[in-house]
Amino acid sequence: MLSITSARKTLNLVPTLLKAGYATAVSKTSNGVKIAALDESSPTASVSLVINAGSRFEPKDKAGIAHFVKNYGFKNNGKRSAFRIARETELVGGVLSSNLGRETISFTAECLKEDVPYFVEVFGDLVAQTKFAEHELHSVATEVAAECHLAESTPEIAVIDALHNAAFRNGLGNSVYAASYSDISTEDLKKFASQNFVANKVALVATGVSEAELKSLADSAFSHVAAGSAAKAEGAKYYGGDVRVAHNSSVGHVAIGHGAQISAFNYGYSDAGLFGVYAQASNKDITEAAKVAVASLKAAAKSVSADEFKRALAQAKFETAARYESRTSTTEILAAQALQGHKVTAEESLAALDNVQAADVSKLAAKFLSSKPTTVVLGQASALPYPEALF
Amino acid sequence: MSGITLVNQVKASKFLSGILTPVASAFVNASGYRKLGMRYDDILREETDIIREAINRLPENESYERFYRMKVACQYSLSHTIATKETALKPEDDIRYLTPIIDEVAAEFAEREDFNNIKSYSK
Repeated sequence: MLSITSARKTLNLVPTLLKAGYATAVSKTSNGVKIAALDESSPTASVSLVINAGSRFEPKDKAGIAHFVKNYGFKNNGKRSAFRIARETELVGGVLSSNLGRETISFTAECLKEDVPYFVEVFGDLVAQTKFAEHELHSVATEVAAECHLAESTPEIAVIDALHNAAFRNGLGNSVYAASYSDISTEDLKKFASQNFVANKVALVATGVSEAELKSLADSAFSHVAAGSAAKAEGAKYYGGDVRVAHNSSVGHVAIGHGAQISAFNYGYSDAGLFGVYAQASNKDITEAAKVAVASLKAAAKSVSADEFKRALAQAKFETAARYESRTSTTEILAAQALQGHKVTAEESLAALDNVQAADVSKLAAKFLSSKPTTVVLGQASALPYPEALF
Repeated sequence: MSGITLVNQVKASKFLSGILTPVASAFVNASGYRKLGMRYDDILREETDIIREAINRLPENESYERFYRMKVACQYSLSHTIATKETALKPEDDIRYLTPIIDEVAAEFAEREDFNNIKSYSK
């Protein structure tokens, strides 16, 4: 079995290549909470609170704090207890979830359309009044530890985490999982929240609701949130390197990434990206698989034939359009666009893809390959290839 | 905490609190727990779900000091002595460190009880 998937998929990426040319203003509440909504004709709706305070914004001595903050979502706040939020959500048939990325922490509620006002209110309280109570820390820390354990034992997650760490070291290189030695107190959490739970770092994103309605709900629910200032990340610097992780895994994993600073194409984060290939195969075949992957990148850097380009363009168009179909990825796109302050519709994204030429692709591939590669191998380390064997 | 209480009315009225505060102080002194070095919140009945949960939520240093005061009180009791006037707990040190937590936990328990007996109806 040999499977090569582009790391693009795994990395949870947002195409920001369309920044130039299509900028439309994003609507905001009076204190600066960004609002984005896509009104579809489905009976259900989803609301997401997206806070621009992912793992890259963690203070150096408090690595892992964002993971704790994520798990403190929907806990006791000044207006409702965690128990009440859970039970009331059950009563209206909603589903709550929270998610941590390198750029953002997001909390999502999926519900019937008529219950959107309730969840917007809950999100407003979450931002303004979460208590970060001492007695909740124990259960939060247990959840954090369980999630870290799951991540460690899932090679796909461990590889991508190691890849980021090697590529960017700190900032974007910070793990989204708290280490078992991370020492986080409720005081640290309150301080982190007071700095990051501010209107200018928050976006409220919804599907199934009109933007005007969402804005009027947010205006009242978020009125107590301090304005604060927008998130400012230290510019990501790409380092690259080689990481080998010994792991009790029956198959070998190789991920090869190349970093890029802002350029015409920028897949990934607000100011940097990682592009690469990820191969997973039996220990016997993994070297061959990784070589094939690198060779195909190298070939693309030389030239891309008209046929190949046509096929790739069609695939890219399909993927772009499909991203606007699913609720999760629509929310992701809207949130990234709201926080970066520009809006792009599906049609505009597709139109922009038509401007891409075959030559641009090979130029970009060549640019990627000129940077120092980041390689991560995970599995039975002694049997896995060193980067020199691949390039 | 249950029962009918007029504590807020008494506290609000200068006249009533003026009369009752000395009486209350005399009562507390007569009850004698301060002469064993203890605070009021140390002698609350521990064997209820609410108070047990509240004690679990005490910060580490508070809970350590609570145990320490209890050990000291046991020692007084064993040796059939009480604290001298200087070493007895001063009224201003008789801080209600547990009561706010008890109130919070009691509210949470009541809320849970309410939700468990909820009657849902369609709009």
